[in-house]
Amino acid sequence: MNTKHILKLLLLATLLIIFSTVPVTADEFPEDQSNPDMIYLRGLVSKVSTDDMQISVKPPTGKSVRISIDPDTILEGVDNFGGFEKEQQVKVWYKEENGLNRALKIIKMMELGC
Amino acid sequence: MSVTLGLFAIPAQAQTKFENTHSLEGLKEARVYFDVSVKDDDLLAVRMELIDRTVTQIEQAGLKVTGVIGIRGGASRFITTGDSYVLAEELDNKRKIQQWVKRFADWGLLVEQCAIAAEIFDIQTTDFLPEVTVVGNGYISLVGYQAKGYSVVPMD
Repeated sequence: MNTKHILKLLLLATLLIIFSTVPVTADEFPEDQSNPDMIYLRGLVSKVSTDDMQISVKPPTGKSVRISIDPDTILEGVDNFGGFEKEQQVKVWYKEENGLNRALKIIKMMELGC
Repeated sequence: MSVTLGLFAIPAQAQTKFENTHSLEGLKEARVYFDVSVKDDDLLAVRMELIDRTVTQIEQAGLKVTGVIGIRGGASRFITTGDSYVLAEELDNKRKIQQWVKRFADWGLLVEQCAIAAEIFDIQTTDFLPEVTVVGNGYISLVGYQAKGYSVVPMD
């Protein structure tokens, strides 16, 4: 194997490493559906727990789901955890990890009058 | 909840002490479109009572009432069937609002729901009360009724 081939292999390996560690982007959250990597939930905020950094989200039917928010959670419609309030409409993509539902992304829906 | 409703209750003497003779004089019919978008369940329940009182008082003044109640925005959640789309603490008021809708429909008032609002709030149109008519766009409904001479009463 000559130097050119080694360099090409190194470049390929570098690219593979880079793309395998790219964080999940906003475009990778499928609208209105779950997939093997994440669960989608839409509903009303029924509770905000500041101490736990958790919100409970109640879907149209069924029980509320408790969602944990951390610094890696992508937030849209709110600047930070303090922006969440009861009765807000939210869309949540989360992952079940270590007994918690860790939020990957949360969109707080705009309150439109129409 | 009952304490909150008590704070918002409309005093009964308000409707007997004063009249609307000057504004209604010479009229035989009142066409009214109630534009309801209030999202708070306590306030929405009070708005329903106000609609009832308003229509009743106009009829008592001798006018025929042709009325439409247009629901949009956050009010949409409360005119669905069953216990869905609301939080547990909103259920009592939702049941009261459901009864109001049935009463209004029996009375001959048309209750319309904006389909755009249903989509925004992720409400299946088949989940609205059977007394409710879903329209394509609540704003267009308002425009049409106003053009036909309906008075628009905003309730936000």
